[in-house]
Amino acid sequence: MSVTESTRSIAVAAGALRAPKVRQRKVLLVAATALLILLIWQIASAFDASGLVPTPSGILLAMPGVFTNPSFWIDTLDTSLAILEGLAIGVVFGTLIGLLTGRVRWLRGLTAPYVAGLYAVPLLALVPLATIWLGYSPVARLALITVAALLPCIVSTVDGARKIARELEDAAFVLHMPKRRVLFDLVFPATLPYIMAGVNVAIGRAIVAAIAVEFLASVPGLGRFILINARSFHQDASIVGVFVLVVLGVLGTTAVEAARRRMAPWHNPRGEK
Amino acid sequence: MNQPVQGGAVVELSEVSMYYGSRKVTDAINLELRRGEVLSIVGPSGCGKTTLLRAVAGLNRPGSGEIRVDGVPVAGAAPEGVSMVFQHFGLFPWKTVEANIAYPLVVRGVRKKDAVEQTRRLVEMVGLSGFENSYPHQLSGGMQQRTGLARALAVNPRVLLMDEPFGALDAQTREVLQFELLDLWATSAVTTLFVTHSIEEAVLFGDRIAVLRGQPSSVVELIDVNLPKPRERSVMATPEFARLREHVWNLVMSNEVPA
Ligand SMILES: Nc1ncnc2c1ncn2[C@@H]1O[C@H](COP(=O)(O)OP(=O)(O)OP(=O)(O)O)[C@@H](O)[C@H]1O
Ligand SMILES: [Mg+2]
Repeated sequence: MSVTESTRSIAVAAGALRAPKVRQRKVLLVAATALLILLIWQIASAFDASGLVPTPSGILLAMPGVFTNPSFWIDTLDTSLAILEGLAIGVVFGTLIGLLTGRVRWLRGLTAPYVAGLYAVPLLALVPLATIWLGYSPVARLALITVAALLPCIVSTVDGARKIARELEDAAFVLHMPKRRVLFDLVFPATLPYIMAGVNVAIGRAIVAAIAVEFLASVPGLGRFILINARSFHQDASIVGVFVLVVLGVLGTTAVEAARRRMAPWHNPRGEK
Repeated sequence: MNQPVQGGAVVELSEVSMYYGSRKVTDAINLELRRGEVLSIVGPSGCGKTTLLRAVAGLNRPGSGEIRVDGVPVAGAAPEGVSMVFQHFGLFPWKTVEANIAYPLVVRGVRKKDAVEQTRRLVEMVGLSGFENSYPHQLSGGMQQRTGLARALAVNPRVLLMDEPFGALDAQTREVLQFELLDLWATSAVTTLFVTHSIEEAVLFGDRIAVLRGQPSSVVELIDVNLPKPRERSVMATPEFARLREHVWNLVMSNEVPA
């Protein structure tokens, strides 16, 4: 335990040495770009006579109203929890299925066509079916989020489990790695970066799935909040909802990246730190 | 288990033919390694050197013939006390230097205290003190291969299989590691099969040199290297070394370059 801990702190320290300057510049760049876009947006909207195009200032003014509205927070919490739950189920089962089918050839042969097919199907096409089977309910939403998260996890994990370097397999054999430990000592760690990449894709797809069901099946949540506000000409409030979605997505991928650094400090794509 | 086996094992290959599918790669290879002997294996690319080495490790099964380590046939599993050093090091990237070296001990249920001590000794031996907690990607190629060597030595092997262990290293690092390997053999005899593309290395290391050739390949000549033991790099300046090198070169290259 202490061994891994001290390595981790070394890695963290090494990162911290370079980080401040680089991060400062990055933040500055992002802020400058955002400001520029907002400025162009504000100026351009001055030429719109209909008043239907939301403006940055309008959105800013709408924020207090939205953020003090308890039903907005209930909707946000509702959708966020559903996404988290579906992601958790999808990631856990997707990883297990991926590891298993990645390693056992006949299982892979059996499942590959369905996985590939389902992965290619636009999720929107499944919403009507889900509502027939599960009703216009949060359960249908959860089911769709789960399926949405499951598939990229399976695909990426299978990919990783199949790409384990032959030398590592040979080393495991020659070193007498027991069969029962192969999964945890070889396959799982070797596949971990691929699993993480799958989770990253899954986050985006899970958000899309949640919003899609809320739109199409009128399940209460952030998606319906956006839809209702847009339909009742509260475009500014609607856009605030969209921003919250963006924040959710960014938070998710940031968390995955942080987890990757923690769980797989050895993984170093293209030599970057 | 942690007592060094005196002088390594006797390794016998009798009539070993290796196949990939229906394609025969080696044809009835006969080799016998004495205890502690270093046998260099050279031959043109694709002649089956790696395949033979993998067979001794139990990774590939011979289509016919038998391989015995101290009289016990190699069948399916990796024989106990047979270690391998890989061309691309074969280190677990998610394990630190220390954890990589200790892994074969952990797997064998060696007590933690003993494993830690043994690992420390090995780290010191291969000159990696201070890098115990580094991950392989943080090390140079030479340091990675030192880790690979230490891991292979952790179980006090009777047999060491090395498949172009220095092939992925630059010339200078290669020479340093050659020197260290000679040192190792001088202090503890372990029967070694050493596959290399470098004819100089084959002569420098080998007690004998097996030259493989043909499709399927066979041993075209088994050359005794009568250079003083323990071997030192200075032998490379002797006329006998030059003679052997020329001889092996002609054997290996006779099919590859037009006369
Ligand atoms: N997994 C495999 N499946 C099918 N054929 C293989 C496989 N591995 C090797 N071969 C073939 O067997 C022959 C011997 O391969 P091997 O790797 O043992 O040669 P080698 O002497 O080690 O060559 P090199 O010096 O290039 O490393 C080659 O012709 C190669 O194409
Ligand atoms: Mg080879």
